[in-house]
Amino acid sequence: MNFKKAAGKKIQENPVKPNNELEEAKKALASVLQDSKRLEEKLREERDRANAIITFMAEGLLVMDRDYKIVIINPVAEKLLGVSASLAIGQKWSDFVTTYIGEKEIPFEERTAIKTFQSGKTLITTIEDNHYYKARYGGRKFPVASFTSSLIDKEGRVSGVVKVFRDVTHEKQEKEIIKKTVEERTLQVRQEQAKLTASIQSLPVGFMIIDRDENILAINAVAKKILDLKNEDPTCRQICEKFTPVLDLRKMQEKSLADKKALELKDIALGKKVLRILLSPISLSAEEIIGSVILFEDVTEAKILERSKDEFFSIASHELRTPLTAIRGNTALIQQYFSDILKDSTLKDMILDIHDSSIRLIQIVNDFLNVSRLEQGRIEFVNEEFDIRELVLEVFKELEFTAHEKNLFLKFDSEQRNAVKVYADRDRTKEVLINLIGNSLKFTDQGGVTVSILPNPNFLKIAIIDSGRGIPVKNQSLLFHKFQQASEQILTRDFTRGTGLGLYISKLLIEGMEGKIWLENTEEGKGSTFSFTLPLAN
Amino acid sequence: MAMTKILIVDDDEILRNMYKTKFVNRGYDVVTAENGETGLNLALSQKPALILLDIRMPIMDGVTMMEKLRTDPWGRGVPIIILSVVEPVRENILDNIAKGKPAYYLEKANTTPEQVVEKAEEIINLYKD
Repeated sequence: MNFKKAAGKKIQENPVKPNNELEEAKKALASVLQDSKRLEEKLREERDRANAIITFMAEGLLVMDRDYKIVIINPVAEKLLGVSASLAIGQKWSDFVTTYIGEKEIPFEERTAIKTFQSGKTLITTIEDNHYYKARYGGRKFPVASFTSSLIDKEGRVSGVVKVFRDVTHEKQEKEIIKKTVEERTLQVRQEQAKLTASIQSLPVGFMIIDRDENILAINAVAKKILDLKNEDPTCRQICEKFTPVLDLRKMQEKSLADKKALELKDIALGKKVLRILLSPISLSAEEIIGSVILFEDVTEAKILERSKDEFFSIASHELRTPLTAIRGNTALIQQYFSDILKDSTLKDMILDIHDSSIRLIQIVNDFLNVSRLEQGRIEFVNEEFDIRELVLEVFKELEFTAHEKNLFLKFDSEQRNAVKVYADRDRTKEVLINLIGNSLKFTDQGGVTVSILPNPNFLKIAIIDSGRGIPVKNQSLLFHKFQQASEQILTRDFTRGTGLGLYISKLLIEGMEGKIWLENTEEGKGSTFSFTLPLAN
Repeated sequence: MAMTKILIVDDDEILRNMYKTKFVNRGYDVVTAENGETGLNLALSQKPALILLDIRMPIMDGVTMMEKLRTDPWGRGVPIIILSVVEPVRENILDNIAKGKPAYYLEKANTTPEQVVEKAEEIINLYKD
């Protein structure tokens, strides 16, 4: 039963077999068909994608066959070359487009497409290569950057060339502009540099720049001359040694750098020369200091001149004052010993006038010499502690007569009952007080002069207040200047002297004692207040 | 009683005579010299009670004369008034010279003959034996 069943089964199966084979063949065919369809679809997709890339890429693209005939051209290439695809396709690339390096046409065998085709190598030209394309049928000549590569067929032979290129006109222009700008700027910088160098070289003073490591960045001829440097490239060390042992230049420079401040060194002796040296830090910002500028000035001649000027004054002083002393002394002697012989009052008055005039002349000479010496800083101040109250009262005593004659009061307004000690030169302070109080008396017709003192923590302020005519605004700025009286008679605030130097001398004297002097306040018709300060004694 | 002797050393004749007049009128015996050299000789031979000395003078100036005088045992102690017009103001140089006392410094132009004689008398009294 089993066999039968089996045999029967087999019999049953046999007629089915050819049928199955057909089905399978059909299936296989369908599968192949389906595969090829899929493949075809895939290919189409790939082609579409490639087409899309070719069409929409930013660069121009060309494909040529082994005869250099154009087979593919994309829209960008059409546009760049100024032709339509229909015209371009089938044309020989070398006939169709002329290529140049700059102005020069590239010969056939040198063209990249040809070289690529022959060698199989990929060639790249950049903006630097200066290549240009120009379509033969119109279109403009334009600079290009290109990429040329060979196409290889299945046998491994070069079957064509693909070329990708773009118009680099804008880049080239930009590059030109940049190049030009750089050139212009370079020229400008050079010119500025030349100007600076010329300025430095033509400076009448020695000029030197050093960096923080003490390298000399610039030095002019005058500096070399002043420092007596023979070699072309002196070193900082060499210069510093020149000043040893008079001056430690390096230390001074370090000080100027540390303080971030310019430092002036006066009357530095270098051999027979006298120099003035200025050290100044160069800072890029508040924090960053990159080096120093050092100026050297040869003041030898000025010093000699100063000395001869001084000698002149000394001689003038001697020559003027000797006869003046004789006039003054002798007229005094006449008045003293011959008053009983001199009966005529006019003659007596004349001799008195000669005597007074000689005193005035002596004072004028004194003023001129004093100013000259004060200006040159040649007067030494003998500072000491003294009581200013006592001095004011002493000055009052001397001016009492003048005040009394004009019916004016002299008042000392101070709440200080004890001594107020200042540290200054007593005689010179007295001179200033006599000048200021004397001036006030001169310009006051009613009321009087009040002196008040006001001690502060470090200094004493002394004010001289009068009830006089005041100083017009236009004249205020002229006070404390040399010869203020000379410009306008009415201006004078000068009591003891006729030279117009009184306030100027007072200013020099007070400043010489580390004080300040100024017109505190003035009102026409009401009075003026002059103030000055002096350091308090410790 | 012998008159007190004063020596005036000054190259300016007018000034010399002026101071001489003043001192003679006060009853002094006055000798004069016109430069430091004559002044030094006169000083050492006459031994005055006081010397009025100018600074700027030809042949020998006042400073040199004083230096030389100070090397002499008598000259070391004689009081001197330096009368100069070299400086219009207090001058440290002359103060320094005067520090080898007895010596004093007066500014000629700013001092009357009366003041000079007063100062001289004050000094003479101070150094009277």
